[in-house]
Amino acid sequence: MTEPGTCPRMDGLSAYVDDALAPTERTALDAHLATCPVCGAALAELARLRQTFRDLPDEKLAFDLGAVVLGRLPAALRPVAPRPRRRLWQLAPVSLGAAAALATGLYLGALLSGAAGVVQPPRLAAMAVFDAVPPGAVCLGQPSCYGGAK
Amino acid sequence: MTEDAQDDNALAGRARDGDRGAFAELVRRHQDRVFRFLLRLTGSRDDALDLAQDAFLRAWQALPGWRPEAKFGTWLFQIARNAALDLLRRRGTVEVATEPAALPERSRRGDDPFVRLDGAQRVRLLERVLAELSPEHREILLLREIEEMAYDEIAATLHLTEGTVKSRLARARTALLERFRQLAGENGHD
Repeated sequence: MTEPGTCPRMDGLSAYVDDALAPTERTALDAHLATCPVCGAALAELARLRQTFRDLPDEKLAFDLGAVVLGRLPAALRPVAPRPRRRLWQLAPVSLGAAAALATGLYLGALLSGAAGVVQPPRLAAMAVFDAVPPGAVCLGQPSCYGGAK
Repeated sequence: MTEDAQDDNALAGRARDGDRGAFAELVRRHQDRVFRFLLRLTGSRDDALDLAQDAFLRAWQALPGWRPEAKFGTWLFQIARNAALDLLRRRGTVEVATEPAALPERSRRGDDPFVRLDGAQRVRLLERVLAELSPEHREILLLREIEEMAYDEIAATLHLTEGTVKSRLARARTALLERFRQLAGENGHD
């Protein structure tokens, strides 16, 4: 890992204090540390940093968060059991049904949209709004309905 | 997997099947670790408490997706960490740290700020420097130095490779030591 006269980057020393080096890397770094005061000092600093981390106050919750969370669980989503995975053959009836429905729909759609070759416009029923004869034919036979009669 | 981790996973399996008592027990087993991590990560006791509750509720909701191959504790820390980062992002306090992993300047000069400070001073200074570090550096140092997670656990928690964990830890330590030295000097400890 290190050649004589060269110092490793921080990566090596950092992994060294974490005991995360491969055995060969560790052996090589041990040999370097035995002769390099700069790296020795850096390693000592890292060790003191670790100790200071361990001296930080141990923050703890002073109550039972489990009970609090338990009380809030009903408002949260309930875990849902994972849906069983279906095998392909189990999906066959569903697939066949869907295919049949689709084919029927396409066939009917083709009939309605003029598959016979003639597209006919929809017929609109005309509504007679003003008719010659009043609604209910109530004037039929009444002279007053025809103006000139007295 | 340790015996504690196996117990956790057994409880998590029961909780996943709807056993609320098992889940409450899981909360009790992990509440201090999660709270401590969130407190150091956010710097706020109130935020840490809210986030801890939120993390456990998220865990309950996500339990159907938990698989026994994953250590429950690591999985839980992923959730807690994501909740904290969401909060920090909303506040605009997440930044990417890019300090090079060189040897600490102090080491090259041959003096050591830790030696000149007494224990209480070192602790106060460390707390201050931790709060000033980028969340990226802070979280990885907390997981390694306080929670004593192995590299593979840190990698799983932070979604990194172990190689990145190694290099990021080195950068975080370098940044922390540099700032520690600066503040020790400003405070007249040199």
